[in-house]
Amino acid sequence: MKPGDDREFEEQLRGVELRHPPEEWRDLLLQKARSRSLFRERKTTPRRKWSRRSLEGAAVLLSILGLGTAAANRWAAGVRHGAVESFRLRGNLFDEAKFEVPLPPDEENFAMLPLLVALRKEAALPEDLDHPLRTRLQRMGADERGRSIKLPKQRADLDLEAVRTGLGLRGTAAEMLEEYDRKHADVLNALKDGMHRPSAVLPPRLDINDPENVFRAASGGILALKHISTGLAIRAGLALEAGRPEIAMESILINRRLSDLVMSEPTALGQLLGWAFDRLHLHLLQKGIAAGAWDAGQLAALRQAWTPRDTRETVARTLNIEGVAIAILYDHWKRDRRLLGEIQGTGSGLINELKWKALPGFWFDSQAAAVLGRTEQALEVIREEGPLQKWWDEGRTFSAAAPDLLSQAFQIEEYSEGPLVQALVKSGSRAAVDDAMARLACRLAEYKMATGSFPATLDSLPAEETLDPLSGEPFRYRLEEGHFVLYSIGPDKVDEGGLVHPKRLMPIHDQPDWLW
Amino acid sequence: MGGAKRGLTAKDLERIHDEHVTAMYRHGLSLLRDETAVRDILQDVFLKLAEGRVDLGEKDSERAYLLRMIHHGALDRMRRDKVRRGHAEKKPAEIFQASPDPDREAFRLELESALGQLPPEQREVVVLKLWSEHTFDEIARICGIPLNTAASRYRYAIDKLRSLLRPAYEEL
Repeated sequence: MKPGDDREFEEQLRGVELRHPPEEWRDLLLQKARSRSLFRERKTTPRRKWSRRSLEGAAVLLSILGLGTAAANRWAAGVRHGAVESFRLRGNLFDEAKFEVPLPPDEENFAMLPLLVALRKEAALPEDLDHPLRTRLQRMGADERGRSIKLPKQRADLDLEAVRTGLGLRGTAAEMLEEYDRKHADVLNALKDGMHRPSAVLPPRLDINDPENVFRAASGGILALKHISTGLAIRAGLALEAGRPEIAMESILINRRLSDLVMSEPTALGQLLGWAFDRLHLHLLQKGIAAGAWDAGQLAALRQAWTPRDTRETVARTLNIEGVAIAILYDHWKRDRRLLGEIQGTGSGLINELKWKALPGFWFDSQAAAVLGRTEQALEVIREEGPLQKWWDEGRTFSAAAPDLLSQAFQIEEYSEGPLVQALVKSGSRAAVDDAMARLACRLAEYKMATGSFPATLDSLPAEETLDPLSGEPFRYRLEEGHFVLYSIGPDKVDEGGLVHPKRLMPIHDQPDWLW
Repeated sequence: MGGAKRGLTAKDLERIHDEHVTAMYRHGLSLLRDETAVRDILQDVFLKLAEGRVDLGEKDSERAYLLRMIHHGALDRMRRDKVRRGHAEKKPAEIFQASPDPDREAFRLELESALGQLPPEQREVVVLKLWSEHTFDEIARICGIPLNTAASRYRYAIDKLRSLLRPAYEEL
């Protein structure tokens, strides 16, 4: 061997292998170390570690939830505030909490007839007390069990037998009419006396800032008026059968005044009820005109009663207050969760109380903001000038909101303006068309009285009196066997020749064509 | 790995042992040339690891840290043994593996003797460099000396070994 240079020398040295530690040292070195190890593999350690981490995790999660909820509440409050400001900026009422309408002097106000004042006072009483005036009025159109007498539709004749047995009247139509007027003289005379009062404006009863009032607001007695409307329809039917067209006209005119009265109520209830009253008597008007029951003066009076109502403004005003009322309802519920439990029908109880209390504040604010936003959008469509067909075409604007995640999680039935808007739009547009057809029908009857026959076309009449408010086009009109067929092609925009679906329970506004 | 406060798991200790104990043993033996003493120092190091009294830090510097612990442990041991000198010194433990080849075995024995004549600090460096193949930078960190010092100790050690082993070369 030679040492060589450094590299060679180093290589030679490396060729000698160093020793390894004895194998038995492994256990010796590790055994003691293991026993000293602080990291003991006992069963409790993972559990302690797990439970400690779980607690830490839960604390972090709760903190995040708390911060997140606070941030969401703040954001939602801002969104609600923005929604209110936007609502106001578009010219909608919000601050006018009571939405008051100026009241005319009592002596000029049909609403202040003693009978109707007494009815409203009685309606304010608790339900478990007697309501003798309401019961009395009910007997004008219902049997002893409270079942309403069935009224005919679409020019059908009044079922005299049903009237006899239901109202306990006897004899011919004329005899029954006389008996009816005797039985209900006090009410009829009171209403007749009131017809000289030019206005019909109900005193305000709704205070949307009162949480108990806005939710539980009773009808204020206006629902009881439907008994009078039914009774007047029966009276008008009997009168037409008995050859007493002036009594029929009187009944129809009183009913129209009642309709004006309930529609002075700014809520949806008032509008829907008023349109229902008109609908109830429309067939009587149709029957009387078809029979040539009225003279020119009576027809003019009837046509005058059907002076166009501003349906657009009526629906807009109603939608404004209803949307605001619903939005404010969410404010009330946010402050008093008990009220939310009441409307959900879950009742009281600890679990329900905790459930409603757990609902975060931002849910209420976001719901209120959403209601105002949708109401604002709907109002824009409602107020737009032009044919009412647009209300039907823009239908999705009026759809009910889909329930959000929180509503689903808490199983809340949301209180939305959607169904209300749909009802107002559909019933309101049908009512506007019916009113226009009623006026036109009276005009056609007057034309016949003057010329001996109905006109061949509507061109013979002033154009503005022949327009269908739904389409903006003239109504469809033709003569058939000495009578006229008058109709609107309806919201489907398809002319089906005046087709009326025979299905009884179909809502009137869902008919293919809207027939006079 | 667990921190200084927590100590290592049994699994960690086993891993460290399996990866580093040979290097630690050889380093300790090169300094002390006493297997019992090396065992004691190794035990001490593993106890410290188990009790969490040391933090090995990053995995790629574990070896250097452990060898440094051996270095300090060996120096402490040498200082203590210096005080107790007077007892009969036992025969130094062999650093190298015996070889079945007679010539190689003869060279090994010469090398053992030559290394034994080096000062411990030079012996430590030459073993770390030649057989453990550490860089001078690593050696400097293990031994706690400047890099130049590590290089110069190595140089001296090689020169000394060469001169001590010359007769062996001539004989072989």
